Amino acid sequence: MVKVIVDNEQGLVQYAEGDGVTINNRLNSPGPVTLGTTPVLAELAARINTGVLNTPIIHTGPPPAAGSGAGTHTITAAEIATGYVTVTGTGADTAVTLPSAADFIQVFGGTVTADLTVGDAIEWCLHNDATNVLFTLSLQSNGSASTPSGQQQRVAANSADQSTSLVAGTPVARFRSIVQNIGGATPVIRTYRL
Amino acid sequence: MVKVIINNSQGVKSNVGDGVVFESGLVSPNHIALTLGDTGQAVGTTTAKMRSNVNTGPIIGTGITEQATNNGATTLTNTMLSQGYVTVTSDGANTAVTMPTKAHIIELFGGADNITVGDYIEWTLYNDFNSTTLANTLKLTANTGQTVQLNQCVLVRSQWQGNQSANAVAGNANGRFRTQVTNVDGSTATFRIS
Repeated sequence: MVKVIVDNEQGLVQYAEGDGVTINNRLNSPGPVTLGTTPVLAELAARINTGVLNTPIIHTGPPPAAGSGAGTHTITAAEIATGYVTVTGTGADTAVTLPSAADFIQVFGGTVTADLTVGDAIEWCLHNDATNVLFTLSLQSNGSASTPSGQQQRVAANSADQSTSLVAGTPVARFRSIVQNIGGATPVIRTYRL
Repeated sequence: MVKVIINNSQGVKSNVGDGVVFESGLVSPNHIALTLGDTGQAVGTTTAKMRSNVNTGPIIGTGITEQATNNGATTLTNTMLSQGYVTVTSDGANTAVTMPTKAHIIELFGGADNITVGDYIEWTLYNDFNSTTLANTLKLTANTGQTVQLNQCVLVRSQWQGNQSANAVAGNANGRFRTQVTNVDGSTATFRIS
């Protein structure tokens, strides 16, 4: 099909040959697609139609971040931006600390005023590669980047037998980190278990 | 709203309708790409943003409503994974659910002309076994070129509603996975994501 490019230098550009639509925004910023902006509660405004025969949409992205080693760890911007962070627990509730607010700003595009919007969210995984059933992970807050509590912040080990684990669920937890406030000196980022 | 159509015979045109449609192309009739942002962006900063509004979260998708159930050891196909939700009824401990062949993976990702390293889909494996035998689990199993993780990451317990506290397999009866292309010959790596 044709290739259509939308960017901030040339506007709308069309080529005879290509593979779809490319949206280039500022070089240092995410390229957004907006699907409905009507601010109505309880009424979904965004839809992606792909037909009724197939469900998944193919994404392209990096492989999971390389394992972040064993023991306590602070997640970096580079790791969380891959969407999949692996840490090996070395004891009960091995601390895995969220990125700092500054790192989250980088993840969301680089600058608060230009790139962050309240409601911006990313979803990502935390995988515990420990094989000892008691070596769990515990996600920790970092300044204005906060976590849930209780079981929601814990990730079970990747052991062969999970029946004696004190933490529920699989060795992979999925979280959503969302920009809650950008009015202060640093943005407030809330992280929820999915 | 107007309907904007992008196709390979007329380029961009508008009509009366309900959104933006990327129509099938002659060269690749079933494979349409939407690229968001600078794909050469530095590590640690996201490049793609899907924006709706701050009052609602989910994006409506389209897809199939019901899939066939597979009984016992099963080798996955491109058809099964293209539906995004695979149901297998375990008939014993660690009933093998084997990843597709390379040929099926190539077909799944749009054929040899379209498959790209880094492409991935997310899909669910559901264990429909519904009885007291806790050991009737599913085990996602490698195939030639298709790697999977170890231990709990590849196991899916049954959906029996009784007490599963002694089950060696954690989580619920659904495992969600990401299968990512590592080589255009149809090789992949599959990671548990919840």
